[in-house]
Amino acid sequence: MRTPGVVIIGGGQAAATTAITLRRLGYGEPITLLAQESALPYQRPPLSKGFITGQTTSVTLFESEVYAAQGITVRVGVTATGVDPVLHTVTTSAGDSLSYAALVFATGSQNRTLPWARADLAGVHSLRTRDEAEELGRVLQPSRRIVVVGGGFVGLEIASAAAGAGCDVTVVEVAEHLLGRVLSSPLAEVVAARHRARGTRILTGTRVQALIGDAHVTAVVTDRGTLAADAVVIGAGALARDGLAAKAGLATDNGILVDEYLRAPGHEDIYAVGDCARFPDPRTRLGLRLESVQNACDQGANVARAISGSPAPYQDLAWFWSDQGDLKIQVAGLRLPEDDVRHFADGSGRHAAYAIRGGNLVAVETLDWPAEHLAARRVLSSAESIPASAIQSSTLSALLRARRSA
Amino acid sequence: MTTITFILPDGSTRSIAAVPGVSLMKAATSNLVPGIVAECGGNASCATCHVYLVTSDPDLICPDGSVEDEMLDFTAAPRRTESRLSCQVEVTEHLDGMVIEVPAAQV
Repeated sequence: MRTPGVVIIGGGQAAATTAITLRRLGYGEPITLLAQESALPYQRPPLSKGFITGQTTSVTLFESEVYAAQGITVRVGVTATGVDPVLHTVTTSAGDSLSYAALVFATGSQNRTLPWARADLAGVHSLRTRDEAEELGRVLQPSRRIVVVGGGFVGLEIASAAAGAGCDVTVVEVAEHLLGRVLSSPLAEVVAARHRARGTRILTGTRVQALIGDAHVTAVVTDRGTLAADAVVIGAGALARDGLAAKAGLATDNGILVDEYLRAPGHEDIYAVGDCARFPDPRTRLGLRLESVQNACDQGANVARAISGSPAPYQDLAWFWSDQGDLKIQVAGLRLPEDDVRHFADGSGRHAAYAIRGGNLVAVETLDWPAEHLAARRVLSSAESIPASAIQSSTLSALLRARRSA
Repeated sequence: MTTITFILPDGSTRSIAAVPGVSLMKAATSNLVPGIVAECGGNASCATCHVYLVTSDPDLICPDGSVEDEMLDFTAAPRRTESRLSCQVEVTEHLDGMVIEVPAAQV
């Protein structure tokens, strides 16, 4: 006789969504979150956007009364220390052991550590938790010299917040283009120009070699010269937190390997969702690990449905967004480096890039163009069909608007 | 507290007490009102918090030419005059007693 109930290892948005969706679907057995951080689950996307600028103050997803009313136990500050897939038990840092009928890994990701990043120096920041965001927000004071290492979404969001606060900002990126992983080069160039126009220095093709300082960082040494710095922010990507799963004997490869049901192969009662999961994506036919709130929420909901008795392959459309100053970047679908890209600018500052693979539209990136992004999501999720050839002469939003008013 | 009643897609109703100052989306999601997804968390990025306000108050109609206006053209459920993205509507005492319809689809 197995003990009923779900144990969710993690306390982020994937974990909270899994738990809340289970209750919404009528799941009646115990649900326990092992949340690790000392706070109730909160939204992470605003941390590098409105939260560090002070525009957004509340990021908590649900207050404690909601979990209490739903019969969801959230154990903050408690981590899982071991998983036994044979006995179906989890041991915790509080010293107890929990049995489960279904186990969900929602352990998230952790910032990549870089060989030159000296932990002994004050003034060196990274951003993952709300506490780190609060600390960074206090550092962004007028005329401070801030060096941001990493020209991806998070690095550029921090650079925007710093520039907005009146800091003297330099972004150092090792690749030849900003946003290389997430945006096609025509749009990445537009983004870089917008940052430069705000007075931010963008140094691409530049590698950090060392940090200088006694107790507090004073400069960043790169292969193209030394930059004086009052603070350094490292936004250089993340790795899956999959160590506990690996220790339990699950297959991992920078991510817990799962099947199309987000289930660990060979373990019908163990799932992984969100940043920590490497899953088979039906569109690219690749094993992917995505760090986005869409992926966290949709995978959490998918697993909640599976545990509630309605399993279905995960095939939601991936989408992302980034707010950088007054610039809104939105991406629907996943572009691969080999895809053809068609860039379109409407002449009023709006841009779109359409990625075509095998004659099919597979991803759309937009700048300051929410309508085109949403139209793209309708088309790419197959809610509405537009042939890729049609965008040679029109935009998706114009085509869908014409269809709706017809 | 402001009392707001949601009519859910299945025809049932759900009343909540909302704190003035938060967004209508936040009030709905923190009270677990079904059918309001709000994936982006209130950044006017995803259009998954679409609702219909049952009101004739012109101040509560979506402003023409706004980002919200543009996004409402592409919601999963059809746009109506009284369509709003609930993340862009602030809860005020003005909304007390209001009835809000939740569409059948958000994504």
